[in-house]
Amino acid sequence: MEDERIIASAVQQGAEDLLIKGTFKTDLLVRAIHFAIDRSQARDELAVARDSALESARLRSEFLANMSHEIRTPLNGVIGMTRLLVDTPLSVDQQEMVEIARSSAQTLLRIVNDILDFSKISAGKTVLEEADFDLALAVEGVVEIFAEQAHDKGVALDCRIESDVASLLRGDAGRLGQILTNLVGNAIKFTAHGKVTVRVGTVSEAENECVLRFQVRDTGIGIPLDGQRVIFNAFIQGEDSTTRRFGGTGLGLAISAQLVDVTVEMYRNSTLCN
Amino acid sequence: MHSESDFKPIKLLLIEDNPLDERLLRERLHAAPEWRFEIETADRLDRGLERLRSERFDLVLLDLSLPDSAGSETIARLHAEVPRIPILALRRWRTSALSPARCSRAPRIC
Repeated sequence: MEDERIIASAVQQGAEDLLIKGTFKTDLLVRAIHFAIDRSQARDELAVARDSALESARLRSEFLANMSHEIRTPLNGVIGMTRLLVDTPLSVDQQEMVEIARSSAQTLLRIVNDILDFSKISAGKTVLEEADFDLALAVEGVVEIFAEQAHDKGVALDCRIESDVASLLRGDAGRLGQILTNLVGNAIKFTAHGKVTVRVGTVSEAENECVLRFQVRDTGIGIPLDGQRVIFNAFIQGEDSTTRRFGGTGLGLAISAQLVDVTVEMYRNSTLCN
Repeated sequence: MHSESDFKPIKLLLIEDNPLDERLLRERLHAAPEWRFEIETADRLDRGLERLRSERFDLVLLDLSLPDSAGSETIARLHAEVPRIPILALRRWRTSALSPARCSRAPRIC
């Protein structure tokens, strides 16, 4: 027992093994030497592999962030100019063309923003704001954005905030809105008919914090079981065919999940149901 | 992994102040039929560290009762100074690893 304790302590301090003099013969000694060298080599190789993997992930993130930034600047020029162009004398045809160009650029900007956001959060560069905000206003604000789109598709969009939910909260309303926008946007995108329901309820409440559950429910196509495990991973959608049928970068839910991870307790309980 | 060891000897640094233990270890290693070991000795931890800083070794055989360091702390000090070298600690039978216990090392010396 004493010996085991001493061996454990020797290994803990950095030794590969501990041999007791006079108890080992040549074969054991040689074997111990080889094991020690092999183990230490394997550890070195592993450390090198890990470091280079981390470094290349960091470089990729940085590249993504830089590229997004570089793309965004000229894109803003395109959007600004098309906006001005719309207000100049144009034929009906031309007006329609400019409008399509503008909305395409807008879509592209949204994608670029998503990528920038994603790489920023991945790099741990997100700073959350902390300010008082009205929860009902924040949630309804998001729902309103989608009201027209839902109406056009013939999908009912319903929002319910339970009466026990505290109305004045402190946190990052913008990020909460971003998460909800991704969830509600997805729900409507993947729902052909029926309805999308946004519900907010209280899970628990303490003096200085409350845990809320945000639920977005839809009657859409649903997500197969194996897809449910990966939808929060970046660049992945519930099904491969989704990208072909519905488009999208597969970043929305990844960003939402990342935000939930970095955000205060209140956001951590946002759930996605369908 | 050690296919080239047939041609290249394994370089060991033995940090050990007891000449008898040193001799015994050398004899054991030279008795290994398939391997060639190149063994250098340092009789104190600080001298061992000096050697490790100036030259590359494959492994350190480290006695845990040296004149200038004793017990598992010896390992910690060596590991902190040269973190990447594998260490094989050596200890006398039934001697506390934490005390130098110079006199109980070997009746044949005292």
